[in-house]
Amino acid sequence: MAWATRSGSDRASAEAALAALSATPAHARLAHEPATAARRALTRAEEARAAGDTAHAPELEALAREHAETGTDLVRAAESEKKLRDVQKQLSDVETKLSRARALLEETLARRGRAQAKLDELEKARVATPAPAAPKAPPAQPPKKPGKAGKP
Amino acid sequence: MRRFAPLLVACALWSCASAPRPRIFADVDAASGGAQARESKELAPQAHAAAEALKARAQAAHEGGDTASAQILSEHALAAYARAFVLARLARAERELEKSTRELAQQKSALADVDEKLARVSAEADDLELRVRVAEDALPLAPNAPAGPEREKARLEAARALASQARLLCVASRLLDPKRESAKIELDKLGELDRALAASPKATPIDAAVAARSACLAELTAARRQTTQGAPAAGVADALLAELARAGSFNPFRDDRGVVVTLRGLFDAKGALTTDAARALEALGRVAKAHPGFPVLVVVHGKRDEAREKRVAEALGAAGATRIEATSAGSAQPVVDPGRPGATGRNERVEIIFVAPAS
Repeated sequence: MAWATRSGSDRASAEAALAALSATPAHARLAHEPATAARRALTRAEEARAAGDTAHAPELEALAREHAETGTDLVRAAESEKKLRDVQKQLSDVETKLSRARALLEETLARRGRAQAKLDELEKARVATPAPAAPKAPPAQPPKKPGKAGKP
Repeated sequence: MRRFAPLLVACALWSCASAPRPRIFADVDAASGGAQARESKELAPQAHAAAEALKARAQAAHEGGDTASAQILSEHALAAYARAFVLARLARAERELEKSTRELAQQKSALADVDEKLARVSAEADDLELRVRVAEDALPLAPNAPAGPEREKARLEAARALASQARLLCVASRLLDPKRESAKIELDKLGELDRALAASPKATPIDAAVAARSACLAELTAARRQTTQGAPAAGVADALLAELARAGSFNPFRDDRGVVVTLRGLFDAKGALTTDAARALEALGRVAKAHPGFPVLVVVHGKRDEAREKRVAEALGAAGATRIEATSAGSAQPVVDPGRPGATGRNERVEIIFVAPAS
């Protein structure tokens, strides 16, 4: 009884895996070979049962399940490899950006150094030559007393 | 009978020998012994072990005389090896993915560090370069020798304009940093210079006026330095300029002081604000409120009138501007020759300056 259940389980699992693969055209294309082998094994199991060979039919259903699950794993592997390629592409882009940013940082550090040197030089020149002083304003005129202006 | 003995022995041996080994066993052996199998043994050990078990079961079935089972189990073993190879490929991809993801995170973090450092160093370099320009500007020029009356007159006008510009720069500096003592000292010196210029001296102190402007520009730069270093992503002034330009009617521009909007015809004959002027000032006051980092400097050009300065400042304050200072530049900074017909209308104007807090 347990053997029969396992056999039924193998068939059901194989059929479920095949149905899942067929649902997505890209997956179906990718897993075409193992899926075809799984279907062939299921057909052979049916034929064995029809011929009364109940001993080997479950073995063929287990074979079908193996092929079908190989197809599923193949899809997982391909998806994982695609993710890997995407991450490696991003990594390459970030490495390029980092390399450029480091070069730019070097240039900017040099620019800052040059500006600092120039500023120091100008500071020395400024100390050596004092700036012209503001001229002295003329002394403020005392306000004229009203009434006296214009008088001879 | 003796003659047939070898034949009988041969027949007995033939009948006792096992059935021939199915060809598929050779395929299973090849799959089991290849490089991929070695890799799958390391990366997908369970799947590899399952395939090995199927291979053993196929062998046992063969030895037990069940040829059909031996064939099916061999096929199953082959499929299991293929699955183990696929799982090894998956494990390898996942291992590489994990490693690359970790590296990506490290590189992104390193890039963020370098970008941050670059922004800081770039701001420092910008600041130093600005200080270099200011210092170059502040270097004393060869003193101007006395000239003829016409030339002295032109020098006097230029010196008045320079002194007026210097005052506005120093006031802008004080608006940004009200505690700045050196700006107050420069403003005091400017007071002295203004008095000297007002006396129409025979030899115009043009060099002192140039030096005063440079000193005030240096004050403004120094007042901004702290903000620039604190927020390296300068560009707030450009953002404000863009915002005012989008408003459509102000024609703003940038100069040393910040973002400038020039308004004309603000006052009616009695010196009160016109309706259009009030509307424009309200809009600018709202802008000032939205950008509290920019203090507002109001400069009235033309006839000196404190009441006008006050009216403009009050209109801006009513719309929400908080840090406002109003001053008059008199006729020191005309835009056209005051002797030309219609010059008064062009020269009389009010500048609303959003003093830029960073370079």
